[in-house]
Amino acid sequence: MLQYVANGIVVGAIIAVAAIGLTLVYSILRLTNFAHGDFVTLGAYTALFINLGLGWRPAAALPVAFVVGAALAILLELLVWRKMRQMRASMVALIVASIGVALALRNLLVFFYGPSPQNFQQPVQRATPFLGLPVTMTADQQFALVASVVLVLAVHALLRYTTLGKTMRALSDNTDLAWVSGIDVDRVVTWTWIIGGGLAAVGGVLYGMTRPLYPELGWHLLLPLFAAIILGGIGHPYGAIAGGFLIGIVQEVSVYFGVPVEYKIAVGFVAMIVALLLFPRGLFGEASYR
Amino acid sequence: MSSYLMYIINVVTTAAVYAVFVLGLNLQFGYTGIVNFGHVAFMAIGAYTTVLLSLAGWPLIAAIAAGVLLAALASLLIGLPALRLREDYLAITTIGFAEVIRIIINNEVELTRGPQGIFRFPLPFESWGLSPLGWRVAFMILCLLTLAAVYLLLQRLTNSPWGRVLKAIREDEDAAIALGKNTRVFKLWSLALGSAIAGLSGVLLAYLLAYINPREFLPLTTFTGWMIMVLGGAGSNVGVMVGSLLYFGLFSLTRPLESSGLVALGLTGQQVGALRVILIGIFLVVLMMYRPQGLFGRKEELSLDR
Amino acid sequence: MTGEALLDVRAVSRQFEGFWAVRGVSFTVPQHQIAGLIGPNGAGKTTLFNVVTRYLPPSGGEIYFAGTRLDTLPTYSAPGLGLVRTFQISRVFSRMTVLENMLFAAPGQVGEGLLGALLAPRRVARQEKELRERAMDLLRYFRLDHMAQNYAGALSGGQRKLLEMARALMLNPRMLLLDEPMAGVNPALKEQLLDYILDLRSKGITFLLIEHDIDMIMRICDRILVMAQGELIADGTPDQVRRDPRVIDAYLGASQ
Ligand SMILES: Nc1ncnc2c1ncn2[C@@H]1O[C@H](COP(=O)(O)OP(=O)(O)O)[C@@H](O)[C@H]1O
Ligand SMILES: [Mg+2]
Repeated sequence: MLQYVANGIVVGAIIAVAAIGLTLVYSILRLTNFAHGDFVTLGAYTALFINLGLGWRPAAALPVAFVVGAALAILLELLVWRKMRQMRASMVALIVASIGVALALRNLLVFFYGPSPQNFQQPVQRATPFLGLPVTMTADQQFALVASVVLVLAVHALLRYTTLGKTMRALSDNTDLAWVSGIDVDRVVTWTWIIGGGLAAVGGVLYGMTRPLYPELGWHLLLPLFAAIILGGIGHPYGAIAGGFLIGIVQEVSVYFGVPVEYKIAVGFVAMIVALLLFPRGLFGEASYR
Repeated sequence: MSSYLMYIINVVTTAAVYAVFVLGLNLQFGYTGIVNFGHVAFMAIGAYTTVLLSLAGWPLIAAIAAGVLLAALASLLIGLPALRLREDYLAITTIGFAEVIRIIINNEVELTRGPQGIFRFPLPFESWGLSPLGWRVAFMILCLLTLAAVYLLLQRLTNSPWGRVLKAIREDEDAAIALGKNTRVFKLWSLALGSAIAGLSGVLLAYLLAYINPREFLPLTTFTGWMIMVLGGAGSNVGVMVGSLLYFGLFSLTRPLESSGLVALGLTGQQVGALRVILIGIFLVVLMMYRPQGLFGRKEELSLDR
Repeated sequence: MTGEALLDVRAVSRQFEGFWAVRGVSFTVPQHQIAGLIGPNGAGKTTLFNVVTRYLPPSGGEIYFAGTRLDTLPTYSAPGLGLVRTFQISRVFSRMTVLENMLFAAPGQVGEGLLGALLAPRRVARQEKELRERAMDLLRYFRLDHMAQNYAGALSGGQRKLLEMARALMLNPRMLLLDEPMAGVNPALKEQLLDYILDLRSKGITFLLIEHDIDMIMRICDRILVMAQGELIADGTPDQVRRDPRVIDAYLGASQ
């Protein structure tokens, strides 16, 4: 049981890292970004590219993945989202467009890497006890956990102590107010995409360190990601982090309670549906919900 | 010559089957404003129910009726709790629901044979002793008749006072409630009817392919349906049929090009398939950016924009 | 004041996350009255309307209409009892024609049922014809008949207000709640609207209307309710209210 909880915490930490960006983009740009999961996949495959091509360890690819994810996010902002905001596209039109982006991105990876699962090339790792607890983790799992926690803390510091972060929080709490009050919106939008796209890609690298890579990896993670941010109350980065851990643990622990492994993904979806129906405002915050 | 004919027949039949599928979606979104991104689930339920029941010895008609009915009931399962959600939440929930259905089909191997799929099951016209080409023609006619029937049914409904209520809900549900309409009931009926139609299209798809397999019911199918709907302009039943024909027409025109040209360039079949989906994705984005009202829709009339 | 109480609002409250937008409001409106509801911006007038028509559940209190308790019924049932509202920002169905907007509002349509729509085309057609005649009469009354086939989204702000009222009348209401029916309406049309309201009252309809234009309110209302900061602070004839020091205070206080 404890082992399952530990696995859940690792997955949950990674979900949390990726979910922060989804919730910021959602609340600041009013975009339900169905392509977010594919940024996760993109990050994982960036690491794979570097790992196979240059022989680097996946962990060393983290900064590269961040830059790739952020750059692509900004590119899409310039090409697509800015124009759609200007023409006041409806919520549904935005959703459909983001699905288009998701399909294109995912199949770009299929085009180059094929549909079947792949692994990083590195020595096989043995699971060892973690911090003297009665649970074991591979070195990569331990790294992913520690890196996730560090990233979450970094985002926390950014949101808490920098002017940019405070502006972002203000914007995500009350979009109407901030859009009219003379904040340098373009700058905030750019940074939202840098953090959103970058963290998603980094989350992908970490996720890839704990399991095989395949092109639908991020798509399958997307619904748990939505579950996390909905549980946390949309627009609340801290809620998203808590929601991430919760979803990760629920998914893994369900296996302990006899749910077949094949249904692990379904457990995430069901958790999300239940979360939406029971807590449309999230477990923690009072999200803006109209 | 006959292979060329087969080819045309195939395009028309496929376009008809998908037109039925998207007519259901259009009732839900185009007329009622219900954001259903899990439409493929009801197609899958219709297909699997019908195939499994007819394998169990049910007469075809009864099996089809059961498939359609179960698709409608399943939509109520998700609609009853979820229809009150805002558009984006509903989109997420319906996708999640469809994925759960697909995962169940994929894993309940004893019931559905799982990822292996089902290859032999009773088809219509089997006792007629038709040649392969003859069967194709007969089946194409069946699909076109089904499409015509569904179209006429929907035209009558959407032009009736019932359809007027759906449109009012799409425009402003609160205002509709303020005028005394129990909008929830109308939304549930719209959802159920649209899903029943999706179930019917699933039955036709199963016969068209002559096998079923969970991979036919990926979310991509729903998104293709959305693309066909917005191509023709959401809210127009004729637009849906034109959109479907256009989509599969283009699809088939590029087929020969793919199989010869691209493969000659050294691409694998998988890569060609991926390229196609990339194009679908880009097309969706461009459509939403430049013509959210669809190729034929009038801007002021029916578009995805309020 | 004449007649029995048609609308009876008892100690109704509504809070938003700890903030009382409406607190302990009680009043009755007798039949055939034109009652005005005034108060500074943010006083809670719209919220009170929303609670009375069950758009928002009350945090406390009870609402009766024609003897039936409303606050325990679903939202859509109030119009069926004869209580119909309009919205502060008019809500027409933009991508439906003006005539369709009108027809939609009629209650008890055979064709609104799936079976009726499918199986009784003759009956539906007959009813549609009747409804169309009634709708066109009302549109003529409000001088909107030349727009009948236009999309409602193409109407001007003032025309939308008129359409909303005309549409409400398709329900044969006993009472209309109008939220700022004159806001954004040009002066000529305003005079016309006043005439309509007086005329409709003489046909037996009761009114409760929110309005900012005090002159208008004083001219047509038999009785005025004043809200400030969520509470009802005055209730009386226009003359009584005009001289009430609390009312003067509330307006002065709000404008500072
Ligand atoms: N949905 C809501 N959530 C939170 N506060 C609200 C909501 N609706 C209204 N309020 C608040 O209640 C108060 C009364 O608003 P309202 O009833 O619209 O006033 P009025 O119509 O008299 O101008 C205002 O302070 C407003 O901000
Ligand atoms: Mg108001």
